[in-house]
Amino acid sequence: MIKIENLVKKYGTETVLDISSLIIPAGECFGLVGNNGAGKTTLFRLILDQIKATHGRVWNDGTAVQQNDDWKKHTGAYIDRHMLLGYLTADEYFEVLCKMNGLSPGEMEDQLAPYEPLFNEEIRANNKYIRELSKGNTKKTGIAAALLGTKKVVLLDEPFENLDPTSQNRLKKIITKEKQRGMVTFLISSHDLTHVTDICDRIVLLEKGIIKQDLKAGKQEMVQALDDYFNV
Amino acid sequence: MLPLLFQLQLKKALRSVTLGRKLVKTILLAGAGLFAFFVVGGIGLGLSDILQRITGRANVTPVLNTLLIFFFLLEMMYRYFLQKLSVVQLEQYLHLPVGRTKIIRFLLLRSFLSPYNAVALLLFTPFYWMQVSQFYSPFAALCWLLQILLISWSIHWFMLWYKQKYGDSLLGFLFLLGLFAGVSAIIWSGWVDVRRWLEPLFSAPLRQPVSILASAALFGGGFIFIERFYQKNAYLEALNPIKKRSLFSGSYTLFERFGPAGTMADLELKLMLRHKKSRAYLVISLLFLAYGFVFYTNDFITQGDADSWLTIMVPIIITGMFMMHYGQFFLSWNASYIDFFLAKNGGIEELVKGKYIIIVSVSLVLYLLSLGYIYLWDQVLLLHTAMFLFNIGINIHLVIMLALWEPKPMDLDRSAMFNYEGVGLAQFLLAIPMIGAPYGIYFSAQYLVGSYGAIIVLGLVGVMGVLLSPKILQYHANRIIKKRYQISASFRQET
Repeated sequence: MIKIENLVKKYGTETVLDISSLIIPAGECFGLVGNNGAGKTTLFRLILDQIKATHGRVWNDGTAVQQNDDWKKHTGAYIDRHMLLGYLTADEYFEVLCKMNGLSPGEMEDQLAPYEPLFNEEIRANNKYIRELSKGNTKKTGIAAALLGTKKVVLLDEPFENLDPTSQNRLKKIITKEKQRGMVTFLISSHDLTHVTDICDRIVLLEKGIIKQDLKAGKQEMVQALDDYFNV
Repeated sequence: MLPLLFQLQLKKALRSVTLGRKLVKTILLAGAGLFAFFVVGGIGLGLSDILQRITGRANVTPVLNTLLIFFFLLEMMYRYFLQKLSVVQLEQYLHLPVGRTKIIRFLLLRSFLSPYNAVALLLFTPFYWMQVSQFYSPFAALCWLLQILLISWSIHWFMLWYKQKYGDSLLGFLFLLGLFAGVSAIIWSGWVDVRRWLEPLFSAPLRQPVSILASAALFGGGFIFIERFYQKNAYLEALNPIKKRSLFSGSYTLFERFGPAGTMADLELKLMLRHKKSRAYLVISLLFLAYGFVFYTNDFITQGDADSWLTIMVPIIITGMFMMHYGQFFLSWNASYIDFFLAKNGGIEELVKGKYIIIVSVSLVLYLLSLGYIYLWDQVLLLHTAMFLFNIGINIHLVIMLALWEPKPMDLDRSAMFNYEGVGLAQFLLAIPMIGAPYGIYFSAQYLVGSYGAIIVLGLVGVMGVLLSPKILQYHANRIIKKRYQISASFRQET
């Protein structure tokens, strides 16, 4: 569960994010939409304690993220390539993660098996370093890495961007399956309204750092509300 | 078209983000450049006088002609290390509607405007003026100077080709080193008098000015050759090929026994072997093993025992070279991947420990190799052991402490030579505590317990440092964690 209280991020005098209260219950698939500069990535980075909040707190499963590292064990994320180790091959990278998460090689193979269609034989058993992969393949590696291990919270920033249509659908299937197991709270930001309304139970619309709408109703209503907002 | 391209270059330089930020560094470098300019110019001015004094002859041109081969060999060496390839910029122009030939000519011309091409001019013009033109006809003398310049500039073309083709391979470097060492050895041993052998070549324009045409042809031919070469290869994938990496791709888990920190150490080892900059530092550290040969000479050993103040300097440097080079950029090595470590539970602590493991292991290897000097001097065992312990106990932490002052991002795939990325004030000041701390202890202990005692004290202080290391490493990690927002923000910017 993620709990946000009076979270404010300012750069100088400019406020880029201001959320008074937001609670994301365990097992929810939470979607985040908004135009460029709305503060989506900023919010993710604050939840991940990558940037310092000007005010306020983020709680991840009962621990304040700024205070100790315990939440990192059960939290996976992919924001950008800084979260990968570009000088490793994807296989080596997964192995490293398994060692860190205490997974055996067998468990790793089991966990990565569902990604085989998504990887399309271009990522594993490959001699390329991650830094040499295409944007789409880098993203696939990052997403799989974020989900590796026993995760309770997974943050994905623009997971569909740079993926081909087939891969987008395959990724959707993976997330939906994971969602059905109900173990993982997903936080997904996206510009792709179709995908995000397809997989998310709840969608929050950010505008200039402020929550404009918090949509929890049925899929039809969400689509309608988003259409109304984005069709200007 | 060419003026436009040059204009773009100028704008690029003026608008570079680094221009303002690194002004101090730029000024320092400019100062160093100016200094080099005066040194080379000074040598040029003094050259004729020096040669006259040494030989006692008035006309020393023939003497210089026998020495020119050294100049050209040296020139090849420094050009190999310093000369930059201009193809890196090809990417920006290749997609524009500008002819390939034009782009390549532009890049070649641009590369030609390099300070290294002025070295021969600076060095030999005064000599030409004071010597050659005094003893030979004005035209022949001018041809003599011109020939030197043309050969020097032909080496410029040659090096562009050589570095493009073999620049990244160890073999290319070894071949050049071998050539240099080989020719020097042949000359010193007097086996074949290469100098006398080549002298007619360099003095040819003085006898027969027409022979200048040969060097002109060499220069022109060199240009045509390199132009063709680039034209054939002016595709991004040909000039930046995906390198074969059989050597570095193995899955080695040397440090796994150390637990999570060992995993980090393995990662760091891979990082080091798979990037150009870190590989260069490994090679430099190995080369510095030879530093002992400079000091552990007969003179030094016979007159000096442990009393000489130099005795602790050599082992500090030999066993600490890697520590200094790698440690000075402590966290900057991971600049591109910092979020990875921040996102892991205890990631920073383990990373710091992993780095310590790596530094100690490589230093240990250097230490063990350096024990070979025992054959030259039996005191080496005591000295190197004590200073190795001091290095891994105390100096390492001093280096890390300074390196964490304000870590800066850097690109690991650029060569280490004259690359000032990641260098800040802390890196400039690094040597002061690293040499100052042991000397401070050495001199005060020497006063109390004598030279041998002082060395043993240094070793014991080192052991204490090693024992305290877990605590000190935690302190380093805490510093990083405390400054994590600032550090990761500055690292993320460099993309």
